[in-house]
Amino acid sequence: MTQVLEVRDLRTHFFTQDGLVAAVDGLSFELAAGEIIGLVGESGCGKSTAALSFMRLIPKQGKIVSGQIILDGQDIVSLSEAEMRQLRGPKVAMIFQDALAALDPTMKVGHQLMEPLQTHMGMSPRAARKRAIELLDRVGIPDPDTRLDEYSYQFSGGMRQRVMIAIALSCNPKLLLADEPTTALDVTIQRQILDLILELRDETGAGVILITHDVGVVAEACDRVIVMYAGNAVEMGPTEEVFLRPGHPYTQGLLGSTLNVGRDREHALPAIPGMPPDLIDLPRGCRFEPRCPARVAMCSQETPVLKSIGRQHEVACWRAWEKAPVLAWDSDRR
Amino acid sequence: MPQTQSGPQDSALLSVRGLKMYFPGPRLGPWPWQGRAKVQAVDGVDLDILRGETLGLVGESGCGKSTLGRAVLQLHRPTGGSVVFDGQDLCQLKEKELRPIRPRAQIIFQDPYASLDPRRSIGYTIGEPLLLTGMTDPVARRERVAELLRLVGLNPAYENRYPHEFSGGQRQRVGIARALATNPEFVVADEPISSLDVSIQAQVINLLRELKARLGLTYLFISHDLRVVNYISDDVAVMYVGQIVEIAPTAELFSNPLHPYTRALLSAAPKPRWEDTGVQRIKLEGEVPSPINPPPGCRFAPRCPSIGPACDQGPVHLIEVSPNHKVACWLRS
Repeated sequence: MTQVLEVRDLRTHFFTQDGLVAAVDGLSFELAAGEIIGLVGESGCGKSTAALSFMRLIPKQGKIVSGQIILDGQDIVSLSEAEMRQLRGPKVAMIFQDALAALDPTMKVGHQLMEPLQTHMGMSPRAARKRAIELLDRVGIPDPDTRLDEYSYQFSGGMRQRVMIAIALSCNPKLLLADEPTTALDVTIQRQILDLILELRDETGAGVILITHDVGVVAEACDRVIVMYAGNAVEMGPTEEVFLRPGHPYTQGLLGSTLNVGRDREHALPAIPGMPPDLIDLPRGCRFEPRCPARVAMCSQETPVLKSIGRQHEVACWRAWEKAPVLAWDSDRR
Repeated sequence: MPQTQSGPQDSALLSVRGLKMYFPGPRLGPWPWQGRAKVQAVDGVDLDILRGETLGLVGESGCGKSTLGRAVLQLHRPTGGSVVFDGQDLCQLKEKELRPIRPRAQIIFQDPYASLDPRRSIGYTIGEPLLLTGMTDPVARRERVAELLRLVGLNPAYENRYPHEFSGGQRQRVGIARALATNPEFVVADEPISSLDVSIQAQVINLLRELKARLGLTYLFISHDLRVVNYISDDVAVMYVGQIVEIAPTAELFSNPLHPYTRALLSAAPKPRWEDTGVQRIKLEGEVPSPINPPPGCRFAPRCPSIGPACDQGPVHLIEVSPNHKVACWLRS
């Protein structure tokens, strides 16, 4: 399989009035064509910033301070905005969480869908319109002919998300970034959208990065998973491996405190105490150390980096590397 | 057609019968005499909540579950039906007569960012219900506020801080403390954890469970997340476009769902790819109909995978198919 994306030691920092925020601080991974990687973590852990870095759409205060992002064989970190614009669409595209905010309310949906086809694929307006109708039909919008001439406010939440997926896929991107694509939707509509993304991945062979805080979605859809905490990847590996044998106490806590139907109701949930750290004022050593039940003196001294503990399974934790597996939490997980 | 229209149960703290909540919708035409459409947000709901129990209410957004929660507390005055709370029909009471009842039934809101006044210290916010219910002595009030803060796991020294100084999880704790200030028996929890992060959600769920056990609370727990409802509720009611389609004890509902919508909801939950649960996934086509012009028969009929000839004939009613398990489906009647 070919490599679509290779990220090496990516650091994206924000320079705010209050100080330096290391939103992404040393992220490395690879993504093959047709593969789905889940990027999980809580809000503020840097998962969305990582995705925006791959699009080179970091807000003004932020900057990629070091590292490489090799997209389809080309390092995009040093590209100019004009060069980058050529890549957004045919090489990399993104689906955002809030479709209402991501679509232009003053422009017909059809126009927004035809625009990338005309600029990137060199289609004539007539050909672009034909293709746009095909795309809307493909993502399951009934009556695409008429819906093309409507505005985004005339669509329901699930339909808007479909329009955005159609726009993102219009130029057959090599890499598709999906930032919480199902979070704002209802359960049964979530199901439809998730299935659609999986189908389209099979059809186009694009590499997909699925950003979510819902570990259930990851368990179902993703080949591999990266768990992020306070700007760092703390665990990475094949989904099954990470879910069944989580090495990092944070991953263990996250999975343990997740509810699923049929869970034991007699006992309280094993919750992770405390809150994620302030990214401006990070603790020394391991960033999870203040909340970690398995911490030792070493943890507040030196920052652990990802190291293999099994087949393609890497963990950044001093305790997880010890011979005996650390099960830090009451694990009545089902 | 057997009716479930039974009298309010004696052991129930709260008995809702035929509750309707309509709102004025868009104009039907350009002329004033053409009037407005009716948004039938809640349309004929029957519920009983026993003292000390938790009823989970699930449904998708716009199905009327929050409106139902508010109508029960008379925060919206219902269009029709009755809400009998501890023997008194709240719908018959005047605003003034409701005042002594209000301290006994409180609400926790979904969004801890929007539901706290940013210009008031949290000590004031938590103490305000006390002031309104006649605790005018500032010293006593402060003591009670400190007690409440400790109860929800916050430092009493925080009483002079403002909402912006707290994280989402802490704010939700403030919202819970405010709801509990007047020692209520009944609490409506309207999606109390859905705006929180995963690891914080677990903390707040644990807190709600612990408070229930300690204070003997009765909850109406509103959520769109079946996993949460499964964990916290004794009984579960499933709502669809303003009506209850199925209601049963939690274990029964999850092991033996009867309504096609409940089945679809349960099967929509993501499952680990390495587990073969053998559960057939039910794909629902289309979207939730509008409560302005709901389908005339069963409201789920247009999306129902197992539709029969009777389904669009007329309204369906909840029928008890086994003890305490009620379902509103033509195929079961």
